[in-house]
Amino acid sequence: MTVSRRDFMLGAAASACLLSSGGGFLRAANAQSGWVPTRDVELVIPFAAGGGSDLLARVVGKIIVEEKLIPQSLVLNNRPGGGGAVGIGYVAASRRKDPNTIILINGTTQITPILNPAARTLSEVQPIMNFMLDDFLLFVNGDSKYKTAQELIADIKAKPTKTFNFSTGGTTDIMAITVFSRALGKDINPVNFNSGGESLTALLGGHVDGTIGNPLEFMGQLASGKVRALGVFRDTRFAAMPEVPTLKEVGLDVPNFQMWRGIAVPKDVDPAAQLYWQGVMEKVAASPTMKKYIADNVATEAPIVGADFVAFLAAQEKLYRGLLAKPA
Amino acid sequence: MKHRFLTGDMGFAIGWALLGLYWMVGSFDYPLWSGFAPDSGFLPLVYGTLLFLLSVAVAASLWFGEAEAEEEREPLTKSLLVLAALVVVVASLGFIGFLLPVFGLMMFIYLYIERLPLLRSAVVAGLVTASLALVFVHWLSIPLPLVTWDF
Amino acid sequence: MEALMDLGGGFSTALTPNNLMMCFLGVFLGQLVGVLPGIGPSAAIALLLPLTFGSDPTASLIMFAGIYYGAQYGGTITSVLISVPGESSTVMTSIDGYQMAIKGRAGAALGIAAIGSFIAGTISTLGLTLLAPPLAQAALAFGPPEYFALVVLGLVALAAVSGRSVLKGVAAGVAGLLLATIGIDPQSGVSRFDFGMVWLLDGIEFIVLTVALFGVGEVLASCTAASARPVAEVKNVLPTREDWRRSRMPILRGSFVGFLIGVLPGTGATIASFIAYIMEKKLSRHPEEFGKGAIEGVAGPESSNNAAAAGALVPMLALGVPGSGTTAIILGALIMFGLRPGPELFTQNATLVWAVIASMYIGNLLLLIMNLPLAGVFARLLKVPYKWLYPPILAICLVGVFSQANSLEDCWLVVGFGAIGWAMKRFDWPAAPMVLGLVLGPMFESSLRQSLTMSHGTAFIFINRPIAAALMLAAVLFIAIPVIAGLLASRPRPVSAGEAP
Repeated sequence: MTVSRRDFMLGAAASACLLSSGGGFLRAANAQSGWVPTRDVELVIPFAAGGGSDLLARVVGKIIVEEKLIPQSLVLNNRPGGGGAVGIGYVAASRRKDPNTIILINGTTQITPILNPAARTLSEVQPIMNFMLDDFLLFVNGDSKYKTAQELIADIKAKPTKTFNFSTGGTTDIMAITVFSRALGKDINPVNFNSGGESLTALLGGHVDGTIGNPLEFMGQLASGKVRALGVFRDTRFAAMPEVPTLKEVGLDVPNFQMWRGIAVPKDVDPAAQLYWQGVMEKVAASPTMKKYIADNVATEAPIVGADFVAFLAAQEKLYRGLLAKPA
Repeated sequence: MKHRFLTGDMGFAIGWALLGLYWMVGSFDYPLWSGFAPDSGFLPLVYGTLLFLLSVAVAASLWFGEAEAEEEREPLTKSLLVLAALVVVVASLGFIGFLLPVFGLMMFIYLYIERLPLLRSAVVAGLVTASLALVFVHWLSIPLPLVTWDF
Repeated sequence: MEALMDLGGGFSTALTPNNLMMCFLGVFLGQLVGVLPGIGPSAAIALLLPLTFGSDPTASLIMFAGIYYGAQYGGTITSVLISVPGESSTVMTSIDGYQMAIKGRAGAALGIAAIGSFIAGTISTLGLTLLAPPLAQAALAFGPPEYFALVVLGLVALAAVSGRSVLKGVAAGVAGLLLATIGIDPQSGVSRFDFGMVWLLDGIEFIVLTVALFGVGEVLASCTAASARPVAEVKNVLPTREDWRRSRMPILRGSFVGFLIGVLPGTGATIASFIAYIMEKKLSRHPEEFGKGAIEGVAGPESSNNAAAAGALVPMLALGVPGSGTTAIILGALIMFGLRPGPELFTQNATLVWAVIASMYIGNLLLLIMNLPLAGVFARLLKVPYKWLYPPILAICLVGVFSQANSLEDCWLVVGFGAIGWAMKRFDWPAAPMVLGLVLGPMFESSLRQSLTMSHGTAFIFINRPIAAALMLAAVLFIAIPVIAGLLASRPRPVSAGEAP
């Protein structure tokens, strides 16, 4: 069986019954914006159960309930499909002004409308807060002859274009390869797989020369020496992997390339409710459970709130459109 | 003999052929080949062509094949009624929730189509609906579309 | 020997009352979600994940593994009784299992499925115990060209499941492949044949098509005769000596083939069950019985899907790469527990790994104990006259399919394809090849395109690599041998070439 198209998904929230137990308390701090949820809050997850974004949503839900951040119970609703377009379409169609609805959003929801203009996603919601950024690293097989990024880069530059095959596990990986190719001035030949796991498997089997991916799937392999990390696609080194240089350090001018994940509310929700949700989400981001989750995922904490988040998203969109060669 | 073109068999085979034709034509909206490998349009074109040819072959074998002694086929009425009931039920799911239409579907089939006794039908349909609600809504917390008054 | 020592340690962990309880809970839940069409093991595990966050990882993993292999037992029940596959891996069971149920032999079918699943589960857990690291390493040799060759072999075998007319069977298979192209092309990101509908961007879900064709289609086709249909006489609830004799070899073969296919990271229980069915039909001395209630057609695939579930844990535990959709989610769970899935899991978290493996022996035994008496109970369900039975079947199909993605559009698809399934039954088009086409379609397309990209456009990649070449050769022989045999046989009396394959 190929791993996950829409995968199997649960309907929503098993957790609903568990989660609802926490409701009933209203913290004074939350009341200052003048609005509080008036009925059960629905957290819409526009992805299948089990993926990274679904897990983040579930952690957010767990924190909200355990720390009693809202006075109502919380229901999780998976509406997967179309790179987020189905779930957000559901919100746009039936929850347009409902302040009791919150939605998980991520880099994929931003890329979807760039590739398929018919699918509307971020334009239908009001971003509230970003939680984390996923990073990208350059990996080769542990048996590879390339010990450092310089050796690999020199060899790629010396050979004809598209000589090197790199596996990818989704659109964001392909975009990372585009970033890499542009900085090199030589095309990499991307072999596209459906998930990061498949991409990793192809690298372990020696079917490709290298790969670019999120560190999450590779950490265990890295520890045993089955794969080797050569470079980081951001401006600073990782605390967890201090010996791996950034690509800028090895002389390759790549932009800071990361993928974001956050929370939004429906487009036409009034400002008082937006403010309320910003307050709740800031508390979520500050919770130790969230910090542990992000650390376990080898990602970067990036709390960006309200107007800053909107500005950040506009900048990301420009970057993505450039990488996908699809100007607005 | 002269009605052979109008049989359901033939119509069904032609339906598949038309689907294949649609895919053949539609595949030209997408690039056929890029770089080293086939692109998005290539396999739909292949599949469409194959399905068209195979279905035409099925139709041809029906046309030229030995006239099978027309099998006694079951009458359509009952199946069509059940199908129509399903269409009505699914159409109403979004408006009046899940449980009521599902209960109605079972009652309609029991009473109108199968002519079963009222009381027993109501008990069976009620029990089935209740256990579906128990398993899916209560245990698994599936957000089945519910009516405004919450059941 | 070292493995056996470790396993002993594993048993001492797995047999603590708490872990034993979690094992029981896991297999019980697995059995339940297996029975429900739509919701599968991966959904159930994802659903429970946040609840286990922060609790003991060993107990949680024992439960998750239990859900995974328990679901393979549960899916059988609805397949046999009402022809609605509860899981994608039990589609093949609904062909012969349902025919057996109509003949009053549901108990035998369920019984042999439970016994076969137990044997297969135990054999493959033994494989997991003794051979995991070297096997996982060997499985990595399977790259895109090898998967492509494997899919070609599967597609060539379409004819084996196509019933009376090979032509119609192949056409239905191609129709399945064609439906698989609906939605976003994962290779290029372009959306194909979505008819402008956002909900079609992810294509047609496999379980929706199977519930529609096998479940709703069967109801529509047989409701006319509902009152006339004789109530199945439930005789010999458990398998007879003769059943057992016929099923012995299919169970063994299914176990080995299922385990090996499960170990490959790109394939899982569904493909394993297809291959086992086709293999049994080819090897059988009475292939004409297949599709009409041959017990081998239940024993083979049922053993195979269980063996594959244990097999899929091999690459997950030994290498940290997912062996199937469900193991991908279990991998996510490991990360949430702060573990690092990878080659060192076996050494660094030995207690956990061996406890999970030991729990699988226990869980399979629990499932056997649960399922043998249940087989009799469930088989008696068919004493209810069909006219009372089919409206609830329709209700379960609708709710089950909805629950799978919370999507009303999927309910429309079920009604639409249900009507098509009815027509296919009426006009004698086989439905199984269509389902097979839909499953293999995405893998066929992506492995073809990946292979050619890797080889820079030359098709020699399929014959340069030994495993791919061997599989391709097998596919060619699969077609060539019956044709040649047919030609040789027809030479003496060249009368009836006819339609015979």
